[in-house]
Amino acid sequence: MNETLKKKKIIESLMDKNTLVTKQILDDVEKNIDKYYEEITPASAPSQKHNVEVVFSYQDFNKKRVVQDFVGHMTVRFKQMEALLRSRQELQQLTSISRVTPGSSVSIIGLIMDKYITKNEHISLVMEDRSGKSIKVIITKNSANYTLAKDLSLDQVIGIVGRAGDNVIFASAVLLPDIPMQQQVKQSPDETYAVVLSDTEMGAKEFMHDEFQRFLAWIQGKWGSEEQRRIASKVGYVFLVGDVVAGIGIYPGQESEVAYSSVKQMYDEAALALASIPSHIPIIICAGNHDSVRLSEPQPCLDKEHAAALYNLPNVIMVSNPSWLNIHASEEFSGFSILLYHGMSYPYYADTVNSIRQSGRQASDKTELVMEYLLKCRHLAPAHTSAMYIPDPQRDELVIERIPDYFLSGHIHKSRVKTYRGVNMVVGSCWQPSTQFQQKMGHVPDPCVVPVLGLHDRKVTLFDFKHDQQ
Amino acid sequence: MTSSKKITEYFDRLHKQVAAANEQANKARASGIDPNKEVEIRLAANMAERVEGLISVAAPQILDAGVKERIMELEKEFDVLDWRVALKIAEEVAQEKFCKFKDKKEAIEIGIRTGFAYVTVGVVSSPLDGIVGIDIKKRLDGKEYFCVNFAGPIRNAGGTAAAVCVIITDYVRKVMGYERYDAQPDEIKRAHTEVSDYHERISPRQYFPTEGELHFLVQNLPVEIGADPSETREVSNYKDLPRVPTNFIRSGFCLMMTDCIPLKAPKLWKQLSKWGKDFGLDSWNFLEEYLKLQKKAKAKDEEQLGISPDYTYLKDLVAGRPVLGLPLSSGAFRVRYGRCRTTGLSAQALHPASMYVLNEFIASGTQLKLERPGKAATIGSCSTIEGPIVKLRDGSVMYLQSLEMAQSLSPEVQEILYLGDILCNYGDYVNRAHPLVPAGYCEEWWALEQEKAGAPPLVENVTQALEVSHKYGTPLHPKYCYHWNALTLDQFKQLVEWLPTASFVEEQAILSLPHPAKRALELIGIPHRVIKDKVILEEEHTKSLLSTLDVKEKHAEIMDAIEKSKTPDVFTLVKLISGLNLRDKSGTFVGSRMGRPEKAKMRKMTGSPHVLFPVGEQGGRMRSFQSALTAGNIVADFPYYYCEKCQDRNFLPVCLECGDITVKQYHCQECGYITEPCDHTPSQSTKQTFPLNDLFPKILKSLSLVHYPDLIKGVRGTMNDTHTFEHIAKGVLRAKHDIFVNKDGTTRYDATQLPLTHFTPQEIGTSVEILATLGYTEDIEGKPLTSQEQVVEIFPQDIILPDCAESPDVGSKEVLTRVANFVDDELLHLYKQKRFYNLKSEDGLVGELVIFLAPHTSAGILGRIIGFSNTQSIMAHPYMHSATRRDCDGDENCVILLMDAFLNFSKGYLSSRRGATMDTPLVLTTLLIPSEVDDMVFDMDISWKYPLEFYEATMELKMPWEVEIPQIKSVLFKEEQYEGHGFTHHTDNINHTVRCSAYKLLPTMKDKLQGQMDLADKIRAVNATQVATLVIDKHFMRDAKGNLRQFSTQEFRCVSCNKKFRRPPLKGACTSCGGKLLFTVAQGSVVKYVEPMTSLATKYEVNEYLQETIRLLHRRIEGVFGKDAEKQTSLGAWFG
Repeated sequence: MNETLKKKKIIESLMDKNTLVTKQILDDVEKNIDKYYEEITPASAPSQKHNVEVVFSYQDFNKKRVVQDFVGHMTVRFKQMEALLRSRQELQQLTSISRVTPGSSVSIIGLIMDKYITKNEHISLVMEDRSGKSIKVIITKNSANYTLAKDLSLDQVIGIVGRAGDNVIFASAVLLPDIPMQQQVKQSPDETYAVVLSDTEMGAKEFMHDEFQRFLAWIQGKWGSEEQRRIASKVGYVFLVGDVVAGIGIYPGQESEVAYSSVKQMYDEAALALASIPSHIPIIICAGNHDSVRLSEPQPCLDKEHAAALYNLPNVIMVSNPSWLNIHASEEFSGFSILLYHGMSYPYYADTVNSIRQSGRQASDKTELVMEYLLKCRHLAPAHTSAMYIPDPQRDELVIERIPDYFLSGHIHKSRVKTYRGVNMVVGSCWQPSTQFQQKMGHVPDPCVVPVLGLHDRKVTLFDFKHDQQ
Repeated sequence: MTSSKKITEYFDRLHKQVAAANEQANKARASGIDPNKEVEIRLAANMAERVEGLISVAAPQILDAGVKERIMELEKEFDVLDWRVALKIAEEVAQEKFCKFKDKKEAIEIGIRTGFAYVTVGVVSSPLDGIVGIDIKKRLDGKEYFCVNFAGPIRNAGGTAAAVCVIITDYVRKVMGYERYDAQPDEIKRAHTEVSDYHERISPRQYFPTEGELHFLVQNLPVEIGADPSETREVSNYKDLPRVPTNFIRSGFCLMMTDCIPLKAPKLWKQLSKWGKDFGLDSWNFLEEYLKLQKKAKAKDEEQLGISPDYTYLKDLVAGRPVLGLPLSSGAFRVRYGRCRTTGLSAQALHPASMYVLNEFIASGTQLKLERPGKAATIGSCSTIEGPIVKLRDGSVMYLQSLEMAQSLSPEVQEILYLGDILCNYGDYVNRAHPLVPAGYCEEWWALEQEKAGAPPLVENVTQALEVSHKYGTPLHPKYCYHWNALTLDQFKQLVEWLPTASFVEEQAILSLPHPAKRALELIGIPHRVIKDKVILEEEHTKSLLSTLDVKEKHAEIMDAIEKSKTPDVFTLVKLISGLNLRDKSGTFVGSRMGRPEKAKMRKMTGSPHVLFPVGEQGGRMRSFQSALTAGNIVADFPYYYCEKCQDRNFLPVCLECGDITVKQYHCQECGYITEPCDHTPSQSTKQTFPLNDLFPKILKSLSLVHYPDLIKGVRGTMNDTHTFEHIAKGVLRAKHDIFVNKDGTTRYDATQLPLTHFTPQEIGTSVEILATLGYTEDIEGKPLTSQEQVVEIFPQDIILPDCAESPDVGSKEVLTRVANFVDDELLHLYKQKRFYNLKSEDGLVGELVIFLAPHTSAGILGRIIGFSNTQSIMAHPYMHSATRRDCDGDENCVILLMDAFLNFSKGYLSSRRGATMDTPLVLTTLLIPSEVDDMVFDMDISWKYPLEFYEATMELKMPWEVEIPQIKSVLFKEEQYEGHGFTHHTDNINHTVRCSAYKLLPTMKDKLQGQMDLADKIRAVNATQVATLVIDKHFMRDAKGNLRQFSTQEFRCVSCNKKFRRPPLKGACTSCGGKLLFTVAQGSVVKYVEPMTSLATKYEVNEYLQETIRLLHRRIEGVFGKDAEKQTSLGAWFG
């Protein structure tokens, strides 16, 4: 593009932003044409430089939301989930709920409307499907899938095999969509690492500045043992899974806990810190509940006005929450599929899913159980009330349609790591000391811990920056 | 009972009147038209009867089994209202000494309920609804302990009584041989988590114990406290404990652990330390150590307590209800001590001019939330205290001493410099255990000092006032004192420099403007006029000001004193300079805000039915008989009736064919239709088709009606288990008289409560002649009652009802007249009896009896109407309010016309859900015995004046009980308990005041908010930015965020059948009727707050953090609904 065209675009964009274009500005533009141009071009540009492909990032659409959108949303979810379930061997002979005849053996796919435990401790579900009809499903106390059924969430789509009675099905099997066993675990041909950050909550008075500086020093190769520094030099990707800043007005009484009264200043501070990450490493950022975008999921990318400073970093890639990426692909390697989700729905499942609730663990130590559960459900937030969402009759983007290699999250402020059927589930920690509020809730955060993912060996190592080891 | 001849005659008269009404009602009900052939309200002359009557609802076998006699016996042994009576009676009932119960557990439960009913003086329904029951649970060692389970209605018992209930439970546990509760570590921790969750998330409590306190408490409680899960939120930690059946927050538990046991621990220990040993209640000795723990925790708070600003009353501020003063802010209401004849028992008074000048937001009966002595108060008016000092648009400062003056000058008011006095009585400070705060200098205090010095009790003018002060050394009369402490030293200096420039015309000082010291003149509250560029001080104020500050002679000396002054205390400086004996006029200012508006209104249930008769789906959207007549039949649940004469199944308790009483039947699958229930649990009702078209004309005929009202409304279905319903004829007649029915068959009139101990015939609109027939023959001085202006002491059970022309709702005079006419019609046509009321005019109601009943209680007190005021309050003796276990802090009570209640009330209509007996007259107290009413009224003072030591004590922040002033408690059990009470402040006329709050008359939220902000701008003691911040933070922001959060996780409902859906079904329509689905949280309810928040924040320049919060919220809303979504609903900017 020639200089004149670039200049024209820059001035147009300045005027769009209602900036008064003075002579001074024109002069400045003249001198720094490239810098200005970089600012106005979309931030997705760097993705070509690095080995990051954004497979899915939600494009926001605004419209008046009507009841039919909610209906459509549930219907489209049902269709998406049905497609996943149809691959199950046991569900080959499907019947619509409206055609269930008493006495026959049936298999159905249905959406859970209601769930309760009967006097005799059997589990009773009310299931519906696209025929608009609903039917009661009984899973008796002694049946094989009883424990599984106990964990079922409302509004989940599942398969049922059983024998039909009068407007009831006695289930012999309960089928979750689940993810298949993986034949072999993918490994990158070269030694490369990815780093998972989350909940940096910059702008909070209690932000653990020194510790974060330590992390930055490490990634620049200036801190840590020889081995740690060697690893630092091989870091290829940084993920920041939501809650970049502390935000404003997030909870009552937050005013006294933040250092700024403007969220833009918080993002400025975040950008200043993240600028220390070597520019050849792409930083992939999604929003969390403290960020300045809407809370309903999918959350769009951080907005360009408040987070302008972040957008200005050449190596930042903004994505939605949730989002899908493919990283590290090359001619000889197909790359890793990454699912990013901040994790707003997690507390609901930690609290309501029977086996997780009864796991005897503290609230902050259940995250990987929830992630595994949701992978089996193939949905990030199946229950209607588990997280705020935008009803989209076109697609339910919270359905886990692909099978990720890495499933990365945050939100709970404590790093957890687990592998389920070849999927590495990794939770980032946080950069704030624990608050009284968290303690009361039974949360014990573990700040300044950074999971480092070895893409070549699929091992996850936790680096703790709480103390200076040198 | 101890009472004078006059009072005894009064009670006899009431007694005869009730008996006559009861007899006629019983005769009418014998016709069998109602569920029960007798009047269902139990009359109780005393507490023991009330307790028995109340408990009989849960256990009918207790009636006349000897409980009431035993209670009276025990009262002789111990004392009336002594907790030991409750313990003993609980023990004996539990041991089945009076009657047998189903099992041991029921015996224990009824025992505890009986004891509890005694502590709550048999008035509230808490003993029935507040206790779910007792669980006998296993300790870790396998032995058994008690868990007492509370439910929401426990709150009506009051903190102390509820706490005593736990002691009763423990006592019964001990005598029945059960073990102590062994609290486990997780249960102990759960208590703190749950209580703090409740405090933070649900509703903040008055007292919030520390973690250490709670742990100690739970560890040591001898019985477990359990409760129903009442909230939809779970505790944040310590879930799934094996012995705690729910993870949801239990409000009953939290109440017990905050406002009950911890808060009342001192009171509990005071008693238990005396006689606990005798009852083997050593299990409560831990209270002694607990109190030490509590003291330690309190000590921290108390250091600041003294009189530091208290913001509690601003915590739950809502849009539209103005803040009238920030805590301890100069210019807010000035504390004035005393009791007007319309205050006491939590009611306080303002000058009518103050009420008017507050844009009429505060009317007689409006509730104020106050900084001190705490909680809230209903406002009455008092014309003998100080009114406001205002600055007019032309710069003049005026003292508004009358309502008329306020009315004429109100449009000119630019700033309210001083709001005037708030009159609070000594008794309320005693009751709240609040230290006395310094009184501003006032007439009555001055008079006491004059009296002590032997000086003249009156001064005519300033010259005389100064002379007297010089001669006797007494302080200068308050009229000539100013609010010096409103000034800073600099402002004072400016004033001292300005005053010598004054010129004098006819002894009036004239000062030239502009001058910065003009503000100082305004701040000290000295009245002055501004004409063009001149300030003119009237003669009297010129004199008092200049003799206080002799600026001509002593200018240098004064300036020197200012320079040398080490404190910013201008008052002390002025006192020093003047050489006069001065007292501080300001005293203490209390912050306040408007609470609930006053109310006087006929009660309507949802759907405003005329009759408790099911109209089913056929009643249509309006639930009307007209729709059902079009449909022909009604399909609903009906009980079985059988007419033996016609040998036919029937629908009504009286056969419409032959007029005979029908027989109630049961239906059993094996035995068929039977008249007595068999052992197979037969059904009492079933879905039946009621032939309305056939029967309705017959009903009309029986009422001798040809035409019937245009709209007669029934209920969709009956709420009670047996589907008992009212006779349709009652609905026809109620519709004819335009009155509505309540869930128990009665018609209610609700109104705000105000106390009243004395009245004048004029203000209640009743002639001296009629009053004489009611027993009022003398005024307070013992002179014969001949004129309308004489002040008369009210009889304890007499009430004055509201009849306010300004109110948008119909007054009680008209409503009760309609009820009386309805009752007469009903008696004549339905019951075939003679009329009872025979009202010739609306005034005919005077002398008639009513039941006075508080919400949440189950026992009413008999009252007699003696007149009507033009306000919206029910006024009655403080005893009456206390008899319903209420104080006058802004709540409302209801009245039911006695015959209406006797004829139409039935327990049969009540649902079996918990809490259904709340707010129903199960028991009626016919005789008011002061010692048996709620003890709060015992603190009320009844003196004609407060002693000088009292005012001196206020300066030293002494506790109120360090000064003795005659209170109700000092006259109990004496003849004087009923009469001869005093008041310190007269008011010319109770109607001479603001009678309807502007809040009620302003049509929209926007108008109310603008009114609130206008006052915030006008009142000197209020900071508008702070109010805007509070309104945004406490109301708009909370609602907007809450609704936004709810929007995507909301329920849906069917437009036609109202069925609720947790989420939309895939069908996309109602699964039961196919109706269209609707939002329960619409987009409009999210976006509607954006505009008011933004414009309020901009106009009043709230801090940057809040502005950013609003902007971010706005973006988040846009993120969901799109840009400018709010334009669709909002109508232009709220603040320009």
